[in-house]
Amino acid sequence: MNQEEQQLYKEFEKQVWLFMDNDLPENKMQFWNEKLREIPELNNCITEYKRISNLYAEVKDVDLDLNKFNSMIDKAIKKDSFFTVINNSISGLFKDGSEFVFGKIAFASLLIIAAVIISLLSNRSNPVNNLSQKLNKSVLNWDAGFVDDQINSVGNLLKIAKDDDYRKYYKYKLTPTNMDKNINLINSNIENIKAEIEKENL
Amino acid sequence: MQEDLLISKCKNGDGEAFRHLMNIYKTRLYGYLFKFSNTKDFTEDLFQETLIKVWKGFKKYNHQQKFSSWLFTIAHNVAMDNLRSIKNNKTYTDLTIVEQKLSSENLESKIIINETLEIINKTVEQLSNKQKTVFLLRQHGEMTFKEIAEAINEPLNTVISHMHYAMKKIRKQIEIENEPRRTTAI
Repeated sequence: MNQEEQQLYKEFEKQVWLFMDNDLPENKMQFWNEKLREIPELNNCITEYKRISNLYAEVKDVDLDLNKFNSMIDKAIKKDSFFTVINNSISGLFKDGSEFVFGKIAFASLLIIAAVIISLLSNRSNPVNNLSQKLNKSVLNWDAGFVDDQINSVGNLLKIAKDDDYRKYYKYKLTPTNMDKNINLINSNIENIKAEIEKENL
Repeated sequence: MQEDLLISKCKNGDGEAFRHLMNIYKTRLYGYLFKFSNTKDFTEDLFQETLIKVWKGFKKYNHQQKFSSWLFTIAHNVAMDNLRSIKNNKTYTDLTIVEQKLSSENLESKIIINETLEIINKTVEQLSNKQKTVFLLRQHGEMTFKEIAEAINEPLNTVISHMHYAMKKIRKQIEIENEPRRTTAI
């Protein structure tokens, strides 16, 4: 081979793999086909690879026992059977071109709605049930007037505290009504203590 | 039964079609996985895992894709995932199989071919992981280099380069090993 041919040989060595796969652009394929006819040495690249490949093929035939293979297949199929059934049912339900596709969708929707209703009605504890029960007991059973008074009272206290008008605050606290309430409370406590002492003496 | 028909049946969950289809690829697939593992038991584990993944993945299989490429891509991923967790990943070569295969040859050629096979096998074992993967996918998976590039997620030029160096090493090793024989003959 002359220098030019040697250069081509080196180039072909790099492209031989794609050439063998027919994956080179058409013009390249044509070019190398012509060169292979002109320079027979280029064929060595292909024959050398094929020789090694064929030799290697002699050892690759390690095989698996048929019984073992069958049990492995059984295991693979069995392992997935449950999921396959579910998967097939769902994909079958929404299969395109089915005559009953709308009916199937409606049926599926009905099942979902039924499941939600059953879940809500069941006695089993579930977050939706618990929340609605709590709402009924506390938040929904409120007395609007009472809550309004409470809010106003807190609002007044905050306003007084904010203005730093402590005198007003104490004056507010020591109204005759508040005093009466406190005196009554003390009286009732004294009465309770007296009653308890009497019980002890008896 | 035609491969396309078997594939369609497999997609519909036909287990028997799966058995027939996999029987076609059994030897090639097992041989490929065997090259990556140490023992028969380990190869069987890899084979089982591949079967499960192929069966489960059939729904996602696209008819446009060559089945063997899809199958060997799964096998490759299974092998790589498992080998990552095993540090000692020397390959195992059972030369008795070579001997069985060559039983019909005459003694002299049998010895020469046997020696060459041993050289090829040893060299393949010594290849880098990437080079070995490309070489084995080509040999066992009978995949094109474009398909291999896609399977192992590497650029086509890199794949070609791996194959080029793998073959170069094998050829060089054969030359080195054959040199003493030639010298002795002279």
